[in-house]
Amino acid sequence: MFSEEIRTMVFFGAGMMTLISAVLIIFFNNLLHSAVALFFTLVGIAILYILLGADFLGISQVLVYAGGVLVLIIFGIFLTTPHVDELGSARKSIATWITIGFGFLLFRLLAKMILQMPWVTKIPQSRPTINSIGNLFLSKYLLPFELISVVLLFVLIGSILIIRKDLRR
Amino acid sequence: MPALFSLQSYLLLSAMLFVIGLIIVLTKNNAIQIIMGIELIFNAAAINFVAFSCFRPHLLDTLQMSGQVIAIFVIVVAAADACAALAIILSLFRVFKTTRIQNINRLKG
Repeated sequence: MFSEEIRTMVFFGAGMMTLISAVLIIFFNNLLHSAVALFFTLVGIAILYILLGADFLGISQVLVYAGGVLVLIIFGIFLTTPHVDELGSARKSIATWITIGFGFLLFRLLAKMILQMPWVTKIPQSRPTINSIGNLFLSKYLLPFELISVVLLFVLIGSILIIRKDLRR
Repeated sequence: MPALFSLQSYLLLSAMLFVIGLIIVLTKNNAIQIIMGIELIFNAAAINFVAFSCFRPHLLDTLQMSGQVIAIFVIVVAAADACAALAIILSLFRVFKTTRIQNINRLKG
């Protein structure tokens, strides 16, 4: 689908966008700024999926995450934060920097494991995936598919019950 | 040094996202930002599934798609998780008038 150079360039750009905006979430104190950074992270991940040849997954990532979960989070911010600007202190405490240091050590460990492993891979070729995914949903993964719809129903009812004004009245 | 578009770079990127999500969960003091960190961790796991299934050589078609199906399950579970967590946060806000988790310290509101 793509030539080698274009794929490498798009991968680099999307990966950089994902990582930089994810790091920015750590350093933003304003909740709305964090939500916008999260949006760019999710869109970057969708581009990475499409580069792998998983087109349906990329589309559903944009639809569900950037269109659903993120809007839900922004609704939560607007409903709970009276003054968005004056939230949190801009100063990073020493514990934050210690946590970032430990996170860096954990990443070094994971990266060492990943780079030592001799992976046998092939370059993914892109085919239309929707047919196969639909077949798998209704054949091999039928039970998880039905279970997850029941889970969604329960979460819907449970959220409404939790958020109701007063149960006794 | 492997090529830039390879399984290793996808795995490194997902490890980086996981670590960033973990740092957000551990350091942020607002409950909504902690939800954002949890979403990042879910996404890192889903990227791993899709990358492994797409880069794996000599695989049957149904197995090739299994990683993507599991990633869709991950997306659905993450959406349900965000929905329930935001409901809990809103009802906490009704009692405590704040979403800073340092100030939410009473069991019986």
